[in-house]
Amino acid sequence: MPRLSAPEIAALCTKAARGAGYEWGVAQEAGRAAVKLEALGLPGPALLSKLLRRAAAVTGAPEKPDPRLSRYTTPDRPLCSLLTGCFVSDMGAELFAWREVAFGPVLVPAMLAAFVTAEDIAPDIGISLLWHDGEIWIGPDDAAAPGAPLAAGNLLCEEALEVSVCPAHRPAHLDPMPDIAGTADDVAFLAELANRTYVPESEASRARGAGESAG
Amino acid sequence: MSKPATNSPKTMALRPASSVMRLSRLGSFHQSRLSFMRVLLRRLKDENWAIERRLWEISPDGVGRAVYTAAGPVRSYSLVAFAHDLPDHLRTDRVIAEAWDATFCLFDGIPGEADLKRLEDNVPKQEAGRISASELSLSRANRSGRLWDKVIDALASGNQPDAEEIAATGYLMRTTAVYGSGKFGAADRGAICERPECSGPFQMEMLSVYLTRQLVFDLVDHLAAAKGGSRAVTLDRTIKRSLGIGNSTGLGMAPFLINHPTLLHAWIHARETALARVRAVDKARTSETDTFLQHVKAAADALENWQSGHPLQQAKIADLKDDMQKLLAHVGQGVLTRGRPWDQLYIWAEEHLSVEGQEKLISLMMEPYGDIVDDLAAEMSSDEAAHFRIDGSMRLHRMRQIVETEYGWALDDPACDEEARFWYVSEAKLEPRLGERDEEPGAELELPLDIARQTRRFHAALADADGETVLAAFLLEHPEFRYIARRVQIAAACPFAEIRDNLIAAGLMPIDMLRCKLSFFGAAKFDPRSDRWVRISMYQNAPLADEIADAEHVDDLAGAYAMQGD
Repeated sequence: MPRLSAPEIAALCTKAARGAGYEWGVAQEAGRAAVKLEALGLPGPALLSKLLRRAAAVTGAPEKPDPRLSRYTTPDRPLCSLLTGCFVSDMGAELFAWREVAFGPVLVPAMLAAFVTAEDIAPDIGISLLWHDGEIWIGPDDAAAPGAPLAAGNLLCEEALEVSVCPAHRPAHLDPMPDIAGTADDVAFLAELANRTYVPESEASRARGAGESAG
Repeated sequence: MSKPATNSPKTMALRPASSVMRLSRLGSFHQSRLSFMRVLLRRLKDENWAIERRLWEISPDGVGRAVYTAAGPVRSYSLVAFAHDLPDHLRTDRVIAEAWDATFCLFDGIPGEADLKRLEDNVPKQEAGRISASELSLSRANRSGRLWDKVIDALASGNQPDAEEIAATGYLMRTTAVYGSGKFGAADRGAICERPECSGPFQMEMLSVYLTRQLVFDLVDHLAAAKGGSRAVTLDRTIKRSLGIGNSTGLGMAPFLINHPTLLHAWIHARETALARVRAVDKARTSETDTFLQHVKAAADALENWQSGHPLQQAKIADLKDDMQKLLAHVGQGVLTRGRPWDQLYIWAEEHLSVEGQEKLISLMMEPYGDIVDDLAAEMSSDEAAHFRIDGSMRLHRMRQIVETEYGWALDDPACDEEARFWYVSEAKLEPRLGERDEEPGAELELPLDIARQTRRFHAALADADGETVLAAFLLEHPEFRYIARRVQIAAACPFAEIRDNLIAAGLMPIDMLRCKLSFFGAAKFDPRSDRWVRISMYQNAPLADEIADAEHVDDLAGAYAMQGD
């Protein structure tokens, strides 16, 4: 699979999310999140691909958090980590205020790592995302700690009953982020979704064209 | 390169965004001291960059490869060029082309043989190939059908080409695309933007085009020598300087300004700040008025060689010719000897010149004032990620207030209710296109460039919502407004971020968006070929690569100080 540059990842993932039915502003977040996950050492396109596959399979579409509740849990359908991530990012420090916040159940919980920042939650120590079989720790941006971020367990988990996000010091039991490569299948699936955003040529569009060049 | 202003320059209020950000005005911009080609040329001279042709393996019939390296104080960058034998019937500037007369990439450093082999397998294929993080741009060019053979024939027979024909065209090759920042596997901008020479917008793309210009001159001399043998002469340096690199640009570029609102703000804000600083100058020195007049006269002369087949541009050129005469006459009455001369001149221009003329005047007024203008080039980049995040804690009443303040143009102007067109991405070309809503299929796949319409809908929804609700909660219920909500928050901090016109109106002229962006590149001779694509010239009047070090006016793209002969 060829290396994708950050702008290529952002473009592909934005279009794929849009092709999957998300609104443009949410699709932009998907593109941005995939790039950020890559920067953290996580396979951004692969995680988004898993989310979009699972989300499509949920009857009635996955849920979004209810801002009126203090615990973001849903009884019937799992939370979409993209929509949940948008809410987490929008609320930032106001949501956390040095306390643990739990979400659940959540599709592809590792996606949430793109939307939380240590600055918002615990600027001096870092944050932990924890679910039943996986954990990610993200240090403060200025952390010179070698190997950060850290992780363990199943980072490609497709659904977690509960994800806890909380302030956390650098844990001793975690390892440097493992090298998890995405697959050509993930990219092909995203490209297939992205194709849904393109308009086929018509007689009228052929006649009007665009001028001689893409510029 | 931008030099920091020695003292904080005086300034005055900027022109309001409500005036500046109208598309008709943005589409009348001209190159200026802040244009990216000029910023690059000043850096090349100030830092004493050396440009060297390191490899030349071009056959007598013009096929092969070449490498040009620009070596700066810390790093080198190399244009890797492949020249091809392209049959005439395959030569098209359209994005559907699959072959070109020459293909290029800008390599980060000096390529070895393994790099060259890898690039030879990919660069000639352009979009169908794949480059790597070692490359910073990918581009291609075609020969001018009107000039190429004539120039080579003339040189081969020992003569210089016809000066009028040269002036009428202005280039020997034109690029049909210059891709940068992460396209087709190239390096991400984020990987290089900390380097001083890469920190400004499009600096590596501009370097690639400048080196391409040098290659074109060498290629013409090479082919003429191969054809004419001992009779052949090389192209006269004065003619070379007068030639640029052509470019044809279509709709693919148009959405850039909408998709990069904080960058657009940075560009316009820098230009408006430059204008405000010049207008705030209390008294003009003789040397400054002389420089200004020299540029006005050069601009008037250049208008004689600015030809366009498009009625709209023909009218603008005619207006501009009148404007330059009016300007010279008005200056002759002594306005520049008074207090606040440039402010007085600009206020007069608002009354007496066309919009095209007013914007030209702004570029001309900057010319004598590099000491208070050029440092602004350092402020023309944008950390887009820093503006991406939505402040979801903001209450809806505050959002509504911002919409009404910053987007009054969209709410109040009935023309912003129109939705005759829609932007989309073509499946066949994978490029943005503009469709007629009532005549073409695909409106359901519309790109979100309908800013005015989204704003009106957002405003209506905000009016129906509880003003104390936080935006994050509102957007969970109304994700369809997430895109415009982000823009509204950006506009609150960046007033020049938004083009203040309806971008899906029947009367939209996409070439205005192209012209705005290309003027910031430093392009000249805008020649619209329709309402949606334009030809331009880049680097006309720039010094040749071996003249940069000694050029007194290295960024004189207007030809105000054109050197003669060798």
